[in-house]
Amino acid sequence: MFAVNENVRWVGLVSARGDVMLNKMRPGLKSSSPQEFDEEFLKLGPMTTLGVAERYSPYLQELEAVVVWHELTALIYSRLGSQVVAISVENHQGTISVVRSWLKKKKAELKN
Amino acid sequence: MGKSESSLTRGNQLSEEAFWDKENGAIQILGQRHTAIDAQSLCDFLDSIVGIQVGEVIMHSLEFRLGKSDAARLKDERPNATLDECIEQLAKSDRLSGIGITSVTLAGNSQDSIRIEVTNPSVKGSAGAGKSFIFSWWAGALSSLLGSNFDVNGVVYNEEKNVIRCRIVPR
Repeated sequence: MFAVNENVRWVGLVSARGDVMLNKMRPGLKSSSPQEFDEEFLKLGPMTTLGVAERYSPYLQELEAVVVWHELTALIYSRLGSQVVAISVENHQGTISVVRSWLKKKKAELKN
Repeated sequence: MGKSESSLTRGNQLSEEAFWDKENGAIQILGQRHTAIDAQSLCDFLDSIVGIQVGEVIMHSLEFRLGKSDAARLKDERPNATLDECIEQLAKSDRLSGIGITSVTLAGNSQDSIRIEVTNPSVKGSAGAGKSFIFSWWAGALSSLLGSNFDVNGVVYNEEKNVIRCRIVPR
């Protein structure tokens, strides 16, 4: 994931049951939040955010991702198969587009 | 210590019965303060906000943790109790708290699949938060009692018999 774009800062992966499978900061970068907080947030935070947004799916088709803009960083949440991925990127529109394309490709691979 | 505090302290001990302090508006089960709520409405509302898939996970996360801590407290309070006695006490707490009439079946010595059946359940869902409300608590409790993590599988509600069943399986 870090190879997708140099502005990807952090990646988290959660199982369908809310178990944290990955909580990793890009090597050499310092996280803005404590790792324990990230771990706890990952369990239900991204999944709940996606769940709320997915209520519109019957009308607006499948949800691609949710992007949350903070002052310091942007967070992207998306489903990948039965799992949920959370990606933190530098607050940069170009990076978000790159990550969005990567997610689309991965989702298509998982469907095939 | 005043009378009301004394009453509440008595309720903090693990009791064979639910402790209902009507004067102070308190109910205690397994030594924990409880509040009688419409659990079906709570589950339905949660599902309506986040969808049934996420509602199920949120409720699982809560109930698994509560089941674990309730069973751990029971073991601490009664260190000499056998597994069967602990399970019996936990099933009794289901009845006291209005969950329903619970029976737990361990297949011999095997812990590969534990069957749980609740007659007249307070929550009847076989999907969403309702699916996790009753059985994730048991998955957590049995994880604590048996020392390894268990999960909920195959939740089915039989409307005709008003019984909800599941299997608790190793994670």
